[in-house]
Amino acid sequence: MSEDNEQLHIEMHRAVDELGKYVIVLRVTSNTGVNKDEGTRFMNQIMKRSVQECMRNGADLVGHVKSFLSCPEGNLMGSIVEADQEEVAIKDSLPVQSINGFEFTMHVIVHGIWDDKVRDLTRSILNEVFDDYDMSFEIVEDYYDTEKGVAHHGGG
Amino acid sequence: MKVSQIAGFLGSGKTTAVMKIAEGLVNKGCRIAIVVNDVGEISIDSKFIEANGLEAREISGGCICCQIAGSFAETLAKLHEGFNPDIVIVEPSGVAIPWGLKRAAEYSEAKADMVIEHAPVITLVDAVRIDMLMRAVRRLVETQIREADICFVNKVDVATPEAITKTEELIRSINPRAEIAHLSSITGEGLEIVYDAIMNRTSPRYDDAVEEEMLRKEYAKGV
Repeated sequence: MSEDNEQLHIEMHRAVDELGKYVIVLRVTSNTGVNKDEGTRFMNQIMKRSVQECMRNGADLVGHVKSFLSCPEGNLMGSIVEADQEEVAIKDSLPVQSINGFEFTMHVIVHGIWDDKVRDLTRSILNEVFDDYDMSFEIVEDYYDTEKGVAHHGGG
Repeated sequence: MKVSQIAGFLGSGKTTAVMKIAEGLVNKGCRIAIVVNDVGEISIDSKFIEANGLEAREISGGCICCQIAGSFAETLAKLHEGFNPDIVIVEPSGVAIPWGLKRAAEYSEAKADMVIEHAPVITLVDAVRIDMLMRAVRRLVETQIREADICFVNKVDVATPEAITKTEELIRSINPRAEIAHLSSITGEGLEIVYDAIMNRTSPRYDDAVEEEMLRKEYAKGV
């Protein structure tokens, strides 16, 4: 790479560092089963709430918020790219109407606030959203911890 | 093995387009693999792509043209050995510089018995959000446009004619050499142009590209 390009590349990386990024993976269970419409409504709600919180607390642009709901029967993928998007765009590859539980991955990228704030804001809405559903969750992975953790940087 | 880069800022419609393009190329008889390098440690896109029956590889933990260039080269070599695709579509994170990605792809030639060829570098430009993007992340968007061989004005099915014209003018002002076309993954507009570019055309290899750029700067005053 030429010197000009090296400089450009550094600037590109700096620009990306200005994006706030966060990924969380949840295991969601329900004693009564989850209806597909309910699963879709849940995706809508959790993704929109995450965007709302970020925009209310300093973000000025949605990079993207994507989510992936997966279970043995199939999957749903959701995407938001606008702060005022009415409905989450959902790609439906779930051929059944009822499931017992699922794994849910959500990837939030916004501009204007940093990773730690995106993480705190996203974590802060989890209980509130789950209160509306007969479902419980556990956090399987928190990629903020992974990326910022000691192990990632060669320690521990 | 041919490598096709499809760049564009977050939310520009890359994943939907990549899925459509991959499906279209498979229908035309090509053996396709997709490599996704998302911002962050995990990619939703690769999960979705794999769930839809396409061959996908996720590379995380950095930028594929520099920090994890070795992983990218290794991935290409393993794809060649294990799956032998005709074309590998690469969806970079948005920080990869096409020349750097070409160089990283060519590293794989030392790891497997193959020659890498590059399809024209494609950048998708979101006509719906262009004003907002230029306000917030101008540098990233400009660089992706500047480095492209072909810029597709994307989401033309929902963008206003004024927004489309404005996006075209912006592309021309940043990269006068780039070809400009329209794309909609929803209506299918422009997909045949993408197929033709990926299947039948090439972009210079890394060394050639560097030389070409030096000549361009020398004789065309950086145009």
